[in-house]
Amino acid sequence: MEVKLIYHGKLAELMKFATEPFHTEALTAADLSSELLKLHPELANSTFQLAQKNAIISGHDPISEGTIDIFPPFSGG
Amino acid sequence: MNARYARHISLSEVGTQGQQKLAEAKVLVVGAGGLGCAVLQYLTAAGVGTLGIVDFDMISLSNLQRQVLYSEKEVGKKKVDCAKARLQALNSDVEIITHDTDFNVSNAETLCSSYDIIVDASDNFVTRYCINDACIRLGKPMVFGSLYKFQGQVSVFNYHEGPSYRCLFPKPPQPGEVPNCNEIGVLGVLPGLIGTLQATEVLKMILGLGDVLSGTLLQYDTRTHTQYLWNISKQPEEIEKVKNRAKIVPVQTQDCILTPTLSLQEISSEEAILWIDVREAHELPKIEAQNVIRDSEVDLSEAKTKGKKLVFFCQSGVRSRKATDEYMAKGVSNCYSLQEGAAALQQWLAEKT
Repeated sequence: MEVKLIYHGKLAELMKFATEPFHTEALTAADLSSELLKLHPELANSTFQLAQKNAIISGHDPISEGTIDIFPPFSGG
Repeated sequence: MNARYARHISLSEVGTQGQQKLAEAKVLVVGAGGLGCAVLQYLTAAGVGTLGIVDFDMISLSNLQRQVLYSEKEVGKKKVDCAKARLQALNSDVEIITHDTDFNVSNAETLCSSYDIIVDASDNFVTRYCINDACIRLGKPMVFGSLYKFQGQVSVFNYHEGPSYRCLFPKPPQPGEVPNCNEIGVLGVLPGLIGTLQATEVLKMILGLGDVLSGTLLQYDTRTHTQYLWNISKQPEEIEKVKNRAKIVPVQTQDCILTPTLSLQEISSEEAILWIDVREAHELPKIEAQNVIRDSEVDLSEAKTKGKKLVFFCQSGVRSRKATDEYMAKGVSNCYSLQEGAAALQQWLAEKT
């Protein structure tokens, strides 16, 4: 399945790009996370969540084609 | 009251009853920085009856780029005092209560207990998780806001048993993983935008208006005006853990607050500063001035109470960071590490004094 990843906040700087076309075999959020960490080990030390279609997804939540947002916590105030 | 709040009262959704609800509301704002300034300004104007402000910090010149309650003349003064004076001039109906302290695991529940709604306008994860945990334990809503350069996040946690910040991010990031505004910079209008959204949620909750941003994270990007709304699932086990602890447990004590650092460029010569030399006695250049002391001469109890900034310096800014961390761990909140070394300080002192 083809998805488009959008990196937010500091993650876009860490990756050096804000969007990435991504081919995935994953069907769930957890599997996508593992694939992502394998391909981009630089994300291993980052805290982030995935979101698709207006909802944060994790664990067994299914993923589908389209855009997937990857965002970290922000600190500033 | 009617003339001042006429534009609220004309709204059929607010009316005199709604305005009365605002007058009876008590809101605590934790942090009087960029977010806090925006939140406080609008809640004061709106006539929220009681506003508490928690902040230990003093105004720096570099705050003025976004912290719109403060002025040049106030650099070096306590944020809570200046905020109160400014807000009271805006609206004398509002009772402003200042809490000149940091917000920590020991005082969190006491501070929050007298208020209906708690606004997280803090700039670090230790404080944010502490607010979250206090709100869970006391059953109070937390209006969260945070910033990264050009982007902001907003949500309302623990509202009518809704999700908490720990449902979004169960664990805080690693120490140093996420930089804050002081370290990396922030577009000046961003805290104004995000803080205004937080104030909006406070007013909506008090007035029972619209859909409160509970169970939803709003993320906003000033560069594109893209706005995301993501549903957050409640993680009951995360909430239960916090409820079942004997007291609030701090997340990675002090570690994930990056060492507060000041550059000579952002220090005003009028600020009350105690310079603390952490070098060995033989190291050159010697810095001799009335307000310069050695590390060994610091009186801890005096340092905690005195209305001065403690700025640690060494040759390059490395040892001074370590000293700053140590003093913060000892409970001295108002300390900073000088980014530059002794040679630059010597030159600065010669020019400024």
